[in-house]
Amino acid sequence: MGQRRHRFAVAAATALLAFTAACGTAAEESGGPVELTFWTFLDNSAEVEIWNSKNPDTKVKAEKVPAQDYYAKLQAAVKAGNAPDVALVEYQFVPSMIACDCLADLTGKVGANLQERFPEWVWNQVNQQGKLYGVPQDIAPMGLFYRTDVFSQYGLTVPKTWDEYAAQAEKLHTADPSKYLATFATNEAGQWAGLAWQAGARWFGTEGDQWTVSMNPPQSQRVADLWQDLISRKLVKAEPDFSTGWVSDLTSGTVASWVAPVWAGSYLKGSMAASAGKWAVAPMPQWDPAKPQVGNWGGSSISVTSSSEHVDQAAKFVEWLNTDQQSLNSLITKSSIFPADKSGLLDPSFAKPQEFYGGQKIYEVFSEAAKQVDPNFTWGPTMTSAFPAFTDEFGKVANGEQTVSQALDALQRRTVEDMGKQGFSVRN
Amino acid sequence: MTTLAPPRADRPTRPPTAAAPRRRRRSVAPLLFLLPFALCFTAFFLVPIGVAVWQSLFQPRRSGLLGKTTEVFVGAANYLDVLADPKFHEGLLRVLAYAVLTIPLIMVVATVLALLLDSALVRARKVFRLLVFLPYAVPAVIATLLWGFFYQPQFSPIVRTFDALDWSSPDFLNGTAVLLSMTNIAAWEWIGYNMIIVLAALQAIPTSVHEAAKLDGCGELAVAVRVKLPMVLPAIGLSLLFSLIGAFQFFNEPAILKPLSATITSYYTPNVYAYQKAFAEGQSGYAGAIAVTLAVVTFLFSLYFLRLGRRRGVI
Repeated sequence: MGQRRHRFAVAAATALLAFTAACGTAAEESGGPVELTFWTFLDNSAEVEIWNSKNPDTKVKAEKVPAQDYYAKLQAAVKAGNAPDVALVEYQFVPSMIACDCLADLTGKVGANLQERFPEWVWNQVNQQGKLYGVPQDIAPMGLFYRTDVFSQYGLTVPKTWDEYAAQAEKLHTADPSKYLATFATNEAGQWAGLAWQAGARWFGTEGDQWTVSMNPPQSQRVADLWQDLISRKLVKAEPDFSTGWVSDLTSGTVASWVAPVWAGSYLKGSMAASAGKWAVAPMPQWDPAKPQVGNWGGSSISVTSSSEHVDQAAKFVEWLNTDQQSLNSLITKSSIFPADKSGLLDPSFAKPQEFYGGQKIYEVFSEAAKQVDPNFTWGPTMTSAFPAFTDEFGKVANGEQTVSQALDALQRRTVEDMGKQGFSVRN
Repeated sequence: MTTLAPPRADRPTRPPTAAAPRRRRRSVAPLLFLLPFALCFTAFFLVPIGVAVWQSLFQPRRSGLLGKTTEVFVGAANYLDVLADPKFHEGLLRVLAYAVLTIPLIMVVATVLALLLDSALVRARKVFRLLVFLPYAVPAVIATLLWGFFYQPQFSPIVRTFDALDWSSPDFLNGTAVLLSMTNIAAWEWIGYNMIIVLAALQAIPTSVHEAAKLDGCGELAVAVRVKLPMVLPAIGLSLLFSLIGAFQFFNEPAILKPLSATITSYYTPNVYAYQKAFAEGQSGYAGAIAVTLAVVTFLFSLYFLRLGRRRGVI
């Protein structure tokens, strides 16, 4: 018995030892090359490979993390102290990630002239109170994707203004009640933000030490009215975007256009192959064609986490990744990214005609659009709660329980309440 | 005519718990055997529950615009917020509505099927039993995805049938219909499982009992309703209780159908709401308070139900 017990103790001790040993990481050994982990839900493996071949002292390990609950995971990892060194953060969630103390300040750790490489509005997305929280990777100015086959069959004209857009919606649905010009995405905050952004809305601001919130500002009232009118007259189809049914509707031409950002260019190609050659892109319809404005829907910063022990090396990597010519070229050609770096837009591949779009050079539309984005739109610190709230409230619009404007008022209330609950001080 | 009083379910005689000679030797062997369970139970049940309860006592506070968060002990503040939260009330009411819709449907159909399978009326009994039970073998997530396709008008054969008949098809995914659609999924999944439980209880009834009933002139229907049904009531009662607890946990179906429906909100059921708070919004304190409150409500309901069952002599 005694013998057996002894053996048990030894086994347990060995197991415990192995367990604790596994918890340590190789990176903690001093002297050796630094290893950086990099979380993203896009694919940056081609660029990481180039970096690793050139920088044997700073090895980067890219880990693809599912987009579902990505920010909750990142936040939990930072809290637990096992976060990656480098992480993708979409612009709309940068303040949320700063608020949870998840991002490192990169001021002074990147090249002095970095700012000049980016459009002003993009630079504003990663800067908060004079501190730099990441290097912009891509931008997502919006345009109008439309079905050339449906447009020519029903004699529709490509709308230049939102009034024309509404008129075409009516024309199409009257001609064929099974067809719609657009969907009202019942679950989508990002598209709405882009539409409001274009109309000159400012959702968040600061006054001294307090936040101001304005989810239903007068500037975007006409956006709400336009969509409410289209919904009330049933000229648009209310359904969640990115659902299988929605994909099927766009592929078949049941829905004939989509106001979407530049990344939709490769998304349509990948998910709706059956509709190849039937798409084209036009600039976003305007409120005032004399002063064209464009909204942005998406785009990401590559940031360094506050728990990283190698902030200097990580900063060098994110700067290289998003501004080096070779990396930019790889981002554009291999990873289908529309770069934030202005020089990236000069890449010859953007001047190429796109087969999926009937030979149209669609990226020229977006390069132009990138210059027309309002630089003053900023995000609040609780977008991880505000985005799901949009889904709740817009769903009620689709079910006829409230109007778009009432939904926005509800979002105003919920956002203010939520910010209070998360400890922010909000000025009413 | 003699009536057969249903005998109380046979309780096995108490097993001799303590062996006659009290051998209270201080042996560690039993403790060692218990260790794996105790470790797992502590690591995966007690610790997480403890952490959730502990976290639910804190709220974040900040200084400045994006200043650092400090978690402040607030006592029962989160619980008071949850109890006053209309979103939580809405979820709770919806779960109750779901229970009222789903549980009777499942239990009645399961009991009828079990009685049929136990009667002499059905042939190919094993095949039917398997067929009815089969949906339970499909994981809830897969079942919901599958039904999601049946409900989406672009793919649904049901909608196509309606169209072919020139009837207007209901919108399965929106408005009040979506709750019925989920009731349907739950029924599809759980009828077979509950049927098996009732069937097992039926088969435990000694054949002598219904033989005696038949000798007394009982037909199949009378045997089923007057003899078998009262004898399996305890099994049905227990199934009801489990279904009730399950209904309070309602999560899979709404979480999976959410991307397809404009009606399912981020607070559709208390569990969906807690998940949203914890994993999308990072508000672990509030999420913990929702979870603990839901657990207490479920416990109270179960207790009430158990008492009710005991008083009526069912459970």
